Amino acid sequence: MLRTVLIVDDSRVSRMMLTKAISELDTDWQIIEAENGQQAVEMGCEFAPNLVVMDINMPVMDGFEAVEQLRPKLPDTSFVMLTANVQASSQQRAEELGVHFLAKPITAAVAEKALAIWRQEHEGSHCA
Amino acid sequence: MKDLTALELDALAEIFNISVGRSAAVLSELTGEAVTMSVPMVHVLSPERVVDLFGISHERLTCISQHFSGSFNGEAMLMFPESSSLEVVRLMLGSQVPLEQLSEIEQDALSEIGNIILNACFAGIADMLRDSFSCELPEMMVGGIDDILLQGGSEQKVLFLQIQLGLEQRNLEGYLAFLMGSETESMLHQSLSNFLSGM
Repeated sequence: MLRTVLIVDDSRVSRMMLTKAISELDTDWQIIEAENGQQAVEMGCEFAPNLVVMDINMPVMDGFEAVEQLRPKLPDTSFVMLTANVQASSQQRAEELGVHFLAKPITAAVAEKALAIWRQEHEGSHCA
Repeated sequence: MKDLTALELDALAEIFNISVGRSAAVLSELTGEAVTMSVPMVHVLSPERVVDLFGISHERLTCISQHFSGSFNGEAMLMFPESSSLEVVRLMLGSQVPLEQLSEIEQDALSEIGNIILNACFAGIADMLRDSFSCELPEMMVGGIDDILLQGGSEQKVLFLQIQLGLEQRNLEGYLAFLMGSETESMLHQSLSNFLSGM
């Protein structure tokens, strides 16, 4: 079954790298992209993705604010913050929001972790 | 920016040394290459003197900078020779992107490299000072070291920390610099005092 991941990052290169990594890992993912938090909120409401991978420091609207707006609207969606902002305060904020936290740089292993988080939250719960 | 004691300067150098170690680890992960680090040099001097001392004033540099605020405020810069920019991007992206597309996305890739490396450093500093830093979005510019360091037009003395990061196998070196003006001096004093008293 085709699933949708929304990649949110103001860096085109980061979106390219993550898109490629996910495509190579699992062809069942349809990938859509947003350049900032505001665009992510709009696309999230339109497409209801299964997984959102979100940068933090972005223009227009940052990733935390976008997650705060999207979470109540998308209760079945998994959210992963993927960021260079690896300070403890950012990780704590992600924890408070109840979302997962992964550190850049983007590698195949990081992409695999993001997909694994979705699997744990969804496929895992069906098996239990 | 004239009243920092030798001990405070030493503490500052060590804080940055350890934090830049994280940046080096990230750069190594990004490029798949071993990264060397120089001993950090801490200077308190005018931007013009920094330009004189920097020793690479004839080379055009690519600079990715981020303004930061937290325990103290300033501007962090990652610089490397403009002639090496495309090689750095190629190392980061590997064979993922065709060569003809590389130059098209070069600026975006360089900004992201700077963002990742500088943020790794801030995370280290924040951990050591038990604080957090807010960072603005990265900005990129290309120019001589004088263009880059004197862009603010400030004549006041600055605290300048310089650390070289090198990719051994490729004879490629970059520089990390942190500029902090005198307006942040009392904040810096307080941070270093807290840090030293907790040792």
